[in-house]
Amino acid sequence: MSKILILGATSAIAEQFARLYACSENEVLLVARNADSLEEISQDLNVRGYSKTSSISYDFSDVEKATNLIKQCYETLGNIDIVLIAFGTLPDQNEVSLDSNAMHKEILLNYNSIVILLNELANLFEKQKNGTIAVISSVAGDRGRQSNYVYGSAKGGISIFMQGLRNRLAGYNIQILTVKPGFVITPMTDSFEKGLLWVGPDKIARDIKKAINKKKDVLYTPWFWWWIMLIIRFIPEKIFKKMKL
Amino acid sequence: MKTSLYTSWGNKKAVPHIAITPANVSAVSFSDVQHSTIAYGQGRSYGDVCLNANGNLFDTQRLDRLVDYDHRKNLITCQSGVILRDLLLFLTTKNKFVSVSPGTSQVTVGGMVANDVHGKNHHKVGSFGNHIHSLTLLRSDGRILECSEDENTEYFKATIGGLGLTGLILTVTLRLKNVENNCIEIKSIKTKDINQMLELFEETDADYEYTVSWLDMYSRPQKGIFSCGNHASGEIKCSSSAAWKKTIPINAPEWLLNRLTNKVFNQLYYYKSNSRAHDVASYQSFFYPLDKIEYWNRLYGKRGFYQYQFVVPYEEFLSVYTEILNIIKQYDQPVYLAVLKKFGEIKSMGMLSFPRAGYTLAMDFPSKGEASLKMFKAFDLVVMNAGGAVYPAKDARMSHDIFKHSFPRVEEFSMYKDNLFCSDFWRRVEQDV
Repeated sequence: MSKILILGATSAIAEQFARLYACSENEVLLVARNADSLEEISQDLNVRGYSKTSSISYDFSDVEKATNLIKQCYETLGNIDIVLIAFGTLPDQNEVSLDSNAMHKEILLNYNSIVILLNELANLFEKQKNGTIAVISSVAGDRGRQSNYVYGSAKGGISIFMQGLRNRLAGYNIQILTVKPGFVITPMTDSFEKGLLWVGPDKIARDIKKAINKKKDVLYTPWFWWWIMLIIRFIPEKIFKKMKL
Repeated sequence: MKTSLYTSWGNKKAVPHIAITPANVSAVSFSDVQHSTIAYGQGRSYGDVCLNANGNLFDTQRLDRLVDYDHRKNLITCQSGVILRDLLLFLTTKNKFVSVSPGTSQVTVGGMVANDVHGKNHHKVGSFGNHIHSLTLLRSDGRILECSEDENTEYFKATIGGLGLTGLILTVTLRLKNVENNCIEIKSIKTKDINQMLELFEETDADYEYTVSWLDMYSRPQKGIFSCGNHASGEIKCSSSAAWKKTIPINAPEWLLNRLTNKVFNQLYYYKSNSRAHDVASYQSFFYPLDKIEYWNRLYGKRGFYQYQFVVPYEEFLSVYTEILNIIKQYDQPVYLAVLKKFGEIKSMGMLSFPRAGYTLAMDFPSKGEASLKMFKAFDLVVMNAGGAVYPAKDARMSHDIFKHSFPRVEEFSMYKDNLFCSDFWRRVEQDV
């Protein structure tokens, strides 16, 4: 019996993730901004077999309301066994380089709002003394590159925040899982040319479930990204700064 | 919205489309459609019914949600982008099954409606369209039509087998059947020639729900393996073979599949299977043996391939078959895969439905340019003279004459076609309609 909270439930990875847990023992609470998609997804998960499916329509850029949101989630579910934070945007680097206001908005959503929610959740999980907090970060957060460093720095920040949280909660029987996907076919990447390294969101979702069962700390998905990022991290900065990445 | 390359199962050169990928049903909008559009599901039709080169298309990959399930009434409602593989994983946990299944599970529900697909049980239950309770159709003028046998009946009949041209299918409600488990009891019989094969279809008709035959077109006379099956009874569970699925990651070099490798494969396949063998296996391994190899179409290499599937009345089949064999010999083309099925007498629902009483033969040919096309034209004449039809879902080249001949209700159909919807296939065959 698991009670699952999904923040950013209309994200393609989150939707596939939610499907994997659909059975009569489990209950799910979906939080997302787009009410139409939320309704369809909630209906779908209900048919697929959750004992209870509820949803809250919420704009994650509204950071002041984060405390209230988490309180409301706890009231709805009672306790939380698994929380997945999956919302986010992928800004166009060229656009945000020229527009600081736009950049601010992106950082606010992709970093501030996530860590504020994490802070609220961590304090409650600390009392609860069990459960899993999983956040979708990105391989882009492992090293800054000219093509993607605003998004990358937000994701890198999330990864470090999660590291600290993992350290803080190590004695509390709580899993802090940082998910670092590579290229995933989702609405966020609709405008990209797809190649051999691309995978569907269902593959990422299955990997996250496996990592939760194995109590992993950090997940590179698909697996080969661990090797790719190992190489990328090891390139000396003197060389890396001249590369077109 | 952006330009992306799309292709179909025949794996010909991919063509640019301005794709619109709606995130949910309410997000579907026609405001960005420039001249014409068509729905694209999994791209499992072989030719160009799902393509609209240099135009728009609706990629339905995210419209893959279940809407309602009624266990007692045996009904499921889902969005048109739901993939059969996923639907069956859900249904078999409830001991339900779709009434009709095609030979791959990688197709969408919308695609199965639009091509009015058939399965190995046509002789018992008809085609996919015979088991649709209702569907919702979004027209480009914004109207949402509830279509069934009682409501908007003409749109219902135009949409089943309507090649996606009557509007965007949003949701479909299917009538399900009860099963006791996920297994099929299978009997396989090696056949020494076509006559024995046809006799087996007649003999097993009454006792077996599913019948199908594989043909080795290199042997003389053509040997084959006839398989028949029924849903197994009792509380058993068959392990699905999904665990060892393989993917062909890129197009194979063109020399890989040649007459020799294909002959060797056919011989091995034939001798490996036991004559009169009985077996109980998962529904996946019975219905979808090729799904174990994802993108097997890439084995043909970048030239791609054609499938030619036709149906002719029972009494015409043997003479048509002989003529077809002669034409293949004359054009010296290799047939890499051939499958024979028997259609029963149940009438299809759709105005443009392909299934009709008779025998249907499907043959895969590597694309050899003009030589292939000339050979297909020769096939067309034989099929038309016998009062038969050619299957659009498998087609990439039929002329408007052949289309009109195969589907005499096309004029009636065009009254219900949506003006904003078009495909490369339709542009080719619509002249004079």
